Amino acid sequence: MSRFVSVWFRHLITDWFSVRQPSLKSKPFVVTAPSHGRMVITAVNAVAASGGLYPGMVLADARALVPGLTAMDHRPNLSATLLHKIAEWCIRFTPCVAVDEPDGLLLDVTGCAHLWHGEEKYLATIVKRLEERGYSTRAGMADTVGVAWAVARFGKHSVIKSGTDTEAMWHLPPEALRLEPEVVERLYKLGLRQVHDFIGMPRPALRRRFGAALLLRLDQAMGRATETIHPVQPAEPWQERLPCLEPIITATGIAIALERLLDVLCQRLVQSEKGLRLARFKGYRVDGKIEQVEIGTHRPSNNKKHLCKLFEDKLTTIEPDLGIELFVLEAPTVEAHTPGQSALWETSRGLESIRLSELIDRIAGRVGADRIHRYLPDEHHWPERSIKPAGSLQQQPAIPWTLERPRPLQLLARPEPILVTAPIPDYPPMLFRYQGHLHKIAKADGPERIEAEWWLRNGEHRDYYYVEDEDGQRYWLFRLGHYQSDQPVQWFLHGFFV
Amino acid sequence: MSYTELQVTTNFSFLRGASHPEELVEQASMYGYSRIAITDRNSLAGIVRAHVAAKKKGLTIIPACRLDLLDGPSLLAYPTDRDAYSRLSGLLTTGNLRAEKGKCHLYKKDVYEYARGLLLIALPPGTLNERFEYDPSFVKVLQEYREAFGTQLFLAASRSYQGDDAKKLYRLNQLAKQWSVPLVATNDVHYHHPDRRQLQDIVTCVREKCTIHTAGFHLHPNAERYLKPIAEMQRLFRQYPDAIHQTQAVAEACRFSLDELKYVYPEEITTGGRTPQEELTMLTWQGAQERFGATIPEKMVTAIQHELSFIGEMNYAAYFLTVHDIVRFARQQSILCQGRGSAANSTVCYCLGITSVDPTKFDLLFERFLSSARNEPPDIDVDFEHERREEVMQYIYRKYGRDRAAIVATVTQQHQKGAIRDVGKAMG
Repeated sequence: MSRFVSVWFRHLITDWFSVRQPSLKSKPFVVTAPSHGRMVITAVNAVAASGGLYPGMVLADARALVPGLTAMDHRPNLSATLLHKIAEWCIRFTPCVAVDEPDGLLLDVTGCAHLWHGEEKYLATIVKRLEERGYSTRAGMADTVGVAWAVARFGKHSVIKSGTDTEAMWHLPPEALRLEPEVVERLYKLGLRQVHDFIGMPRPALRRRFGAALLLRLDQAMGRATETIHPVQPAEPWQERLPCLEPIITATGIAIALERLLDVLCQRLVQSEKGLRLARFKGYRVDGKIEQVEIGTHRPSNNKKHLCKLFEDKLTTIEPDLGIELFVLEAPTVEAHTPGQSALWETSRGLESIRLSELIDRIAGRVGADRIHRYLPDEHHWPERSIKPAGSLQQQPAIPWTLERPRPLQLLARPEPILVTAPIPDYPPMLFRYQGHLHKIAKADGPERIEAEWWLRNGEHRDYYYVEDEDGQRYWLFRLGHYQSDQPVQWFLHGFFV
Repeated sequence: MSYTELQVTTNFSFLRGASHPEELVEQASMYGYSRIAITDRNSLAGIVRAHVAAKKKGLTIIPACRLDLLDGPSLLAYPTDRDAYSRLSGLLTTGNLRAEKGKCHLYKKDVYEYARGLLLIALPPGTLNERFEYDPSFVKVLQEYREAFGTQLFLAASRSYQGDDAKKLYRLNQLAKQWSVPLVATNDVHYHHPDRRQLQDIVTCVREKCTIHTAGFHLHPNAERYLKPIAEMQRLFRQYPDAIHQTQAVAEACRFSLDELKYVYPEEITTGGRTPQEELTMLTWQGAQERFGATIPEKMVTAIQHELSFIGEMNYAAYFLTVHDIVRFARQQSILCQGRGSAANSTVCYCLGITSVDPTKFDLLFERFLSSARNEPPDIDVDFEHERREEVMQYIYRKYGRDRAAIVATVTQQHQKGAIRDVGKAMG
């Protein structure tokens, strides 16, 4: 049986203003937006509401009723943004949280409550935590979205025991069924003031008088029609969660949490013969902030020890502040990983060696993964495109490295302009100046003329020369385009040979 | 010191060259070349159009071809005289008969057999090995070629701008000295102007069945294989001026021109020692009597006389007899056959029973069929019953010999629609 929680923020917008400006809290204030040349109230705070103000009222009328009323400007999309943020924060209670416009959230809490020692406590925690953040909150829990929604807004008891949904709806007003205002009005006109007044009526009659929507809403509340919710964060299939009874503050605590999560995740990975390439360890802090660290591996890994080591260096960056109440470990990138024979691991050589890739992972953890690259040949004559970054340590080159033409060991990502003295039109240069030093060329070979790849980018060809200066250093230089007597010649340095 | 470009690939090397023979000739004439050779791959197809264009520009075309061998490095072959040309054609025919349509399978020993009167230029591989030397296997074959061809053999040297030109020329010069095979400069021309590189790349893609994005190393890194000005070639080979000189030696030796060729028609068997013309005249009048009865209308008599005299003038009688003979055979075997097309404008064809448009009922225009203004041999289309076409073909083979009759070969050309589709494919 599914369990749902509906959360209702009675004064979502005004609460947000109060949080930002605590002085507003005790004063009556409203949020207004211009409409047809008048200022119309779009939201009221609790104090203003008790003064008889309601959304839709004209600001001038409201001022007559409540003198000294403060009015704030309406912000478009504020409620959607707010709900989304709160929904993400609520992921600490369940991975499946959806926004329920305009002023609520829906949580699929199936199987979550026992972690908080029961549904009552669970729901109370949710409400308490949201209230602490400054939002007046009502919440309901039931077997269906419909009933949870209804009890959050109209019910007396917030937790409806599983299997008692129908009774819970019995005495609620028709509005509790999430109906259009016109339908509600019609029901009231006919004296149908509670759900039990019409729930037993023949369906054809209801459909004829009130439309199919009423039947659908009834069915949804009764669990006869399924209702899906769209979580703000699609659930990670490779994700493990660890809620904590007491907020964790110490580094040891964090390390233990990580270890436990890794334990479960690695076990799952091993079972499905997968290894992770990327892992994210998140801590949901009591104050609503999320602390996270990330690691990457060079080959799929489900070796708990290894992954733990990778995280080790980074755990210190997590600041628990007042404490972390939920840890999440997720692996966004997971690849097939066939377990090797343990004996082989110790003796394997080269790129296949686990120990090599683990070493690289550890170095990457120190200097940054973006500073370690492996390149594979690509089928292009144009030097910049003749190599491409490899996806992993195991990726085999699709084509062999071309060895027919000399290519520098170090190729500059961007050729650097240099000053060159060379006989015209295409004889090898005699000397060049690079970074303030004059290099006299003792030996040279070339030109190797490479045309731009016209289907990718137009441009002039390059005449490459392979030169050696008097110190024996070798460089890869090129002249852009043909020599032309009326234009300055452009020379560049593009690489260094050993 | 002049230069003759001896290695030119036209678009008759299907999907290899990117310029028409005419364009290459025009460019050559602009640069002041007096001769160029046309060397398509295992084909002489490009030389005819080049020859016609060259005549207009006052250039000489050296008819030649590139022989791609299955078991050795390619050779450029230049016939020095008419006999050598016919041997070269024979060599290509041998290769074509061996392979499926569009392919030509040749081996070293074929070339040795047909090599008399040919000048041959060996093409070295495009790359040096890790010791900056030509692969020993090439050196070995070069030696073998030298023994087989003697002084007819030369060695090609090109500046491809691939970075190691200096090394390659040095090594080639060494080989040339060592084996006394003179070095000849060529530029391995594939197009008349560097701007044709894009088209060259596209035809490469069509040939390799890939798109421009996946073609990779199938494409050439630069656009240097264009017809270069003579002065530029001299500059590029400034260290090896003899290689430039040799081009002239080769060109001088190749005296053969397509002008020397003339069509030779097989002699048709005639009865009673008559000449073909007499035979044709006799058969025509016989036929006329069968067609028109004893009194042949005056109009027809004039028409037949006019046609016969024209046929006699152009010496086409044998051809008419050939067709007549084939049609007679078909009729004997009661194979349906029918002449069609412009031949129906001929009263002679009507009398011979080749066509059946009654000239008394229609005014025929003989000039639509044959005229001295058109200066091309007659062309009589005859349709045979589909199922029994083979019998007619067998008859022709029996009569003329299998290797003298041919189902007419066509040179495949890219037509506009197909070409656009292929370019589209190549661009992905």
